[in-house]
Amino acid sequence: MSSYMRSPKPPPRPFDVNRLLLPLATLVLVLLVVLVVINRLPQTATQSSATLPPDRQGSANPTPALTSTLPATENPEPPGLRLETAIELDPAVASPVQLPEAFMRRGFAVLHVLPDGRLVLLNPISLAILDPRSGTAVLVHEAEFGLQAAANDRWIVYGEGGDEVFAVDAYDIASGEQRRLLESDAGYYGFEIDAADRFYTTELVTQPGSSKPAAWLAVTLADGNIERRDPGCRRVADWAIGEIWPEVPLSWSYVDGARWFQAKESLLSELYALSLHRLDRSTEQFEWQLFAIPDRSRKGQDALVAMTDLMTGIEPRLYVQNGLVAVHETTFYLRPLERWFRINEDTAEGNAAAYRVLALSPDAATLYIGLGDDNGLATGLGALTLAADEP
Amino acid sequence: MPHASKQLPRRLIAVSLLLFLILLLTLAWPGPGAPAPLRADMRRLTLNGEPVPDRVHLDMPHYRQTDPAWASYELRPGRTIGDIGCALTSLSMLAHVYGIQQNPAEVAASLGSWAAPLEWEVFTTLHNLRIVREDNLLDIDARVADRDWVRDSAVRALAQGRPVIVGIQHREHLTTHFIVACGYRYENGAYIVETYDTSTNNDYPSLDAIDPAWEYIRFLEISRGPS
Repeated sequence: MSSYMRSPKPPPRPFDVNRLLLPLATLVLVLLVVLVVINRLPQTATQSSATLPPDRQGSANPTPALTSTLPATENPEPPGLRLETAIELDPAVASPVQLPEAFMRRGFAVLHVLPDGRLVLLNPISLAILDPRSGTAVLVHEAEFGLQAAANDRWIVYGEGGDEVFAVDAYDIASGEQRRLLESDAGYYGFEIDAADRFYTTELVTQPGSSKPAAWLAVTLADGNIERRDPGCRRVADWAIGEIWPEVPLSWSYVDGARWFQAKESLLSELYALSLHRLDRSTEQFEWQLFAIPDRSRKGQDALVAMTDLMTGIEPRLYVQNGLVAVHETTFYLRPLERWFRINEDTAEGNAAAYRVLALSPDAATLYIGLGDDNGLATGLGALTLAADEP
Repeated sequence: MPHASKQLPRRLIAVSLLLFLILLLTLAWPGPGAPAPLRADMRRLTLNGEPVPDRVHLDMPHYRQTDPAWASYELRPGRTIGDIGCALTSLSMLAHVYGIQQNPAEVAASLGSWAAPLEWEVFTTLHNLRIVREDNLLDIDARVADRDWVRDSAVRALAQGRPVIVGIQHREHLTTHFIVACGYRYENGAYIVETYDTSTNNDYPSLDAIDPAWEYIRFLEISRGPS
């Protein structure tokens, strides 16, 4: 009843939809602009990464490592502490080292640097010890083809063959004496040596049409004693990392998404592990990270100490020599100096593989680099003096 | 007025829908430099960051071991090119890509005792060639055991003008055989690696035609040496 007593309400004002149109359209336009900006941001990063030469890609996204260093103003830390801030070395100032004729004809590898600074050089036709300071060389062996070898401070072990070798000889560096170490009609496959004067190879047995592994041999060079091991593990570094981390996945895989480790060890027992994660085999893209294993008393994955961030790019080429570990022909870490270095390739006249790091002298004062390329082997040898105050 | 008030919400809805459509199109538009849209051929292989050509065929003859011109050439006592010369004949075909015009008998003669068993490196040393990629089933991590790796590696080698020799072995009989990868084509979303088989027994025209009873045991990518 009381409602009847009230004065009647004024009729509701008609809702003017036109008043909403302008703010609504403005809001949508603002949203559009924001979305367009957001849509472009990650693409800019992708584009800058994609412009890198493919064989130089290896950056923790989105920083294009291996090609740039952060300006000092933005990065106050000393250069070379990280791969991304590697110290650049100018190959143009390397002193050319006179090579024996056989190594000028065919590309070569530096097998080992002896404690007195001499280099053990190998190519398919010649094996020699070169004193880079005087240019004098001791010829250890020559072959028509397929010379294979391994060397440590005291021994050079070698054989001839494209794949398997049928005889293995040992050369005593101090005395120059040579003796037959192994001989078999079925042959041996692979050459490795460790600092404890043990030579490792795979013993083969013949089957119709081909050969197959029978055992992994560890041969004590001093007395020729042979220890036969299971051929399931046939690499010294794999054996070493397996002792520390028995479950470590070491099997190479061509499946996208596969993860595994690659291990390498120097004759100074410097053990490294490279983790590999295949992202896309069609574009050869990997995610990778380099680890050192400085303390072998630690067990399991905890023994691995990261040397780089998680990187993306093509598969790194892990190369290890005493005091040196490289992830690319021109990008490497020098352990005595505790710094990352990179050989500046700007003077390579378009040949990306013109330079490669080869070895470090025992006193860490001289870096040997390859000048020129013969399908993965160096064709010239240069010596770079590392400044006393470097880094 | 009632007529006008009904029209306004319709106009509002129309304008809103139009703006929403623009929004959707903007989000869907990839823009320059954005990842390519998914297509059937998204698995095309790249080499040094660039897609490989869709078709490559290297210029070489197709030799047969059993060609009477050299089939009876004796590689070792009682064994001839016709019997055991598949690797040698493959090498002879490959050599033509690098301008070495030698038939299997001429290759054998130039190698002497290295012809059987064939030592590839003797031939590459003689002619300034290089084995730039070699994989052997004897390796503990033999990549050649993976057929997809062999196919993709052959494609990348051929895209650079480098022929490939592939060794295969019958899983049951352990017979070995060698053929040459002479080209490839991208067809129906897949790479077909074309081969010249030295034998007429199976006469495999491509890697994917090889019976699964055979496994890959060798992969040799050979290039010209430095000039």
